[in-house]
Amino acid sequence: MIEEAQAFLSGRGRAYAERLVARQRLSDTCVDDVVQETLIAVHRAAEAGTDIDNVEAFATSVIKRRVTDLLRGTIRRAEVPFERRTDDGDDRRFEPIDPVDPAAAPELDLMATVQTASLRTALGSSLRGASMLPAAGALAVLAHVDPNDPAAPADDCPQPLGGATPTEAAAWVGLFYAGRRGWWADDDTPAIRQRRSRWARAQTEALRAVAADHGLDPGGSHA
Amino acid sequence: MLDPLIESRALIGEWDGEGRGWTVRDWVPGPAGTVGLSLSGGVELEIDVAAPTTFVGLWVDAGRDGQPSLEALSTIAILLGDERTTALLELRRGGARQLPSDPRLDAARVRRLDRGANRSEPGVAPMLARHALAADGGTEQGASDLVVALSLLDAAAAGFQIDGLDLDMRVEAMARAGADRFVEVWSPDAPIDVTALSAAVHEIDPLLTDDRRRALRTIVDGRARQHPAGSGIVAAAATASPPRRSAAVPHSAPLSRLRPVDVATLPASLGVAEAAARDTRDAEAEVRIPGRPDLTERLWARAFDTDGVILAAAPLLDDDGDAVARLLVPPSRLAGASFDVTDRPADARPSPGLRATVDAIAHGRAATRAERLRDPKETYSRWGRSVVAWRDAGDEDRSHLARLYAEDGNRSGRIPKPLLADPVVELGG
Repeated sequence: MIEEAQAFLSGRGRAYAERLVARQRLSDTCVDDVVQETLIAVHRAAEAGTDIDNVEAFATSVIKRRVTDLLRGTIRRAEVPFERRTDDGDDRRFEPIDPVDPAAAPELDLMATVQTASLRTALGSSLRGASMLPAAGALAVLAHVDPNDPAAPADDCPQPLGGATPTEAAAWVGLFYAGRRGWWADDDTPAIRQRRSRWARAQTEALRAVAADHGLDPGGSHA
Repeated sequence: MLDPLIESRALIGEWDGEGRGWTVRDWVPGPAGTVGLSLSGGVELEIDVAAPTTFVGLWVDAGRDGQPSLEALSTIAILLGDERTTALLELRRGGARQLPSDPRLDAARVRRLDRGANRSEPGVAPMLARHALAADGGTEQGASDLVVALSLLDAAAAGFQIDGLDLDMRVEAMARAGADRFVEVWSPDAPIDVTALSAAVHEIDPLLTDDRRRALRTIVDGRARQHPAGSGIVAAAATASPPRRSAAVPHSAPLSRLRPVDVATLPASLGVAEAAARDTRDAEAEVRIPGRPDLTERLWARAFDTDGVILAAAPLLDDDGDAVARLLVPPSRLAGASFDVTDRPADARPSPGLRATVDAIAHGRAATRAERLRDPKETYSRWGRSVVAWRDAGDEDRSHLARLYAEDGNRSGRIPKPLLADPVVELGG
């Protein structure tokens, strides 16, 4: 269904959106937004399990509605059921505390490149499903380790005690700003430490994945 | 036979094959955008907010068999007249044409000037325009119960005066719901135009049960005695309640400049009208929605740089009854950062052009409310903001028209009487 909608919206559907936008003498730049909003609506319908027997008719109707909504001064989107994600996620295996290997951490190298913006954009589009919190944490890590413009965390952001690597400290910043505030306690239990460790690795994996997608070597050198 | 409710002269009809229906158009929407009215048979009417008797568009659904329903036929015949209806429905693939003028309208041809510039140029029947405007006011995001109640009463009173459109059930439901809600939520210090409210109540009198009539009359007549005829709007600024919802941060928070947060893409059902951000440190901003702990871990705040690149994202968490997100942002980009709150953080943010368009329309709508309330200072100021936003959106024509409206006043007679809810909305209720 998504592929069919994408194909339609890159051809006749887009032409229809262009016609409607032009008819109302709105800026051409609105066409991309209308097409994007339509694709989002199709995504949402698919996620909600809605049975659409005619994707083109559905998309056409959404295009028309979006242009009308725009003239009525609204760009609000339809609501979909919200998924709450637990701290534990799906993985319940026992895992040892596992500081990230600095040699394998991509962020320091990545920050030196002009591709930071596209990395951020890629992380932004990963803010869905199970990758939501790791991607948010990875964005905070990028801000924190930026060599030219480093963002220092707030005083109440926990920092590991002596002996931790800079990468591990950065991971904590990511966890904190991704909203994992309850993951530190005076009497840290092994379970809490495991959880932190697991999500720190997920953050690093999120960075590693977008680095690889952009032709950067996660090991620290450019491809 | 009734006169058509839309008497505009230069209507263009078109068959829309992709959308499976017919469109009728006249003027393009002005700088305050449009309001829509859904009518019987899948017919949707769009009118111009700044010049409500200006006809903008009509949509007629074609059924699966490519024909309009009987209800749709009846509706468009009342709106356009028989001859134009026939001409419209004859259009098929690729077809577009100027619809013939109704012969009964041809006697008084008028010269086309700017929209609303010619009092004798016919458009949408004023009561139909008022019905659409008032009904829309009751569905505005964040509207208080009092605004909804007054909007329903207003829309019912206007709708009751429209013949032939099969609005009876809707108008009756509006009248009853509006009366019930008004009796429940009104307060003696609410800024209500008693004279206008009394006229509306008189209009819908046949639709009210004895209990509702008595309850409404008790309130309205009591207010009228307190504020004799001619006093008009009760200037209740001194006693009015503060805005129902505010994104101001608690007084205990450190002082810093509040920054706007875009909540425009949030689903209306979440009821989030506004949020605010502030810098808490040189590399951190906080986004807060006061008094909404129910939204925690449901919504996300995001920060973007001036190029629209995402800088940070975080879920809103409960902070002493508020929904709050803290965002870590590179220090040099914090000053220029913009913020939004979304339920779908992976979705791209609407383009600056689109957001400027929505802002321009919002300012334009606020300006039209000030116009209706005959507040020239606010009118000028709000149209001014719309002028700038339309320019940001790359739309010089609408920017120019907004400027004309700001400077023109009501010389053309474009501006209608205030809606019942206007003074309440204006005072933040």
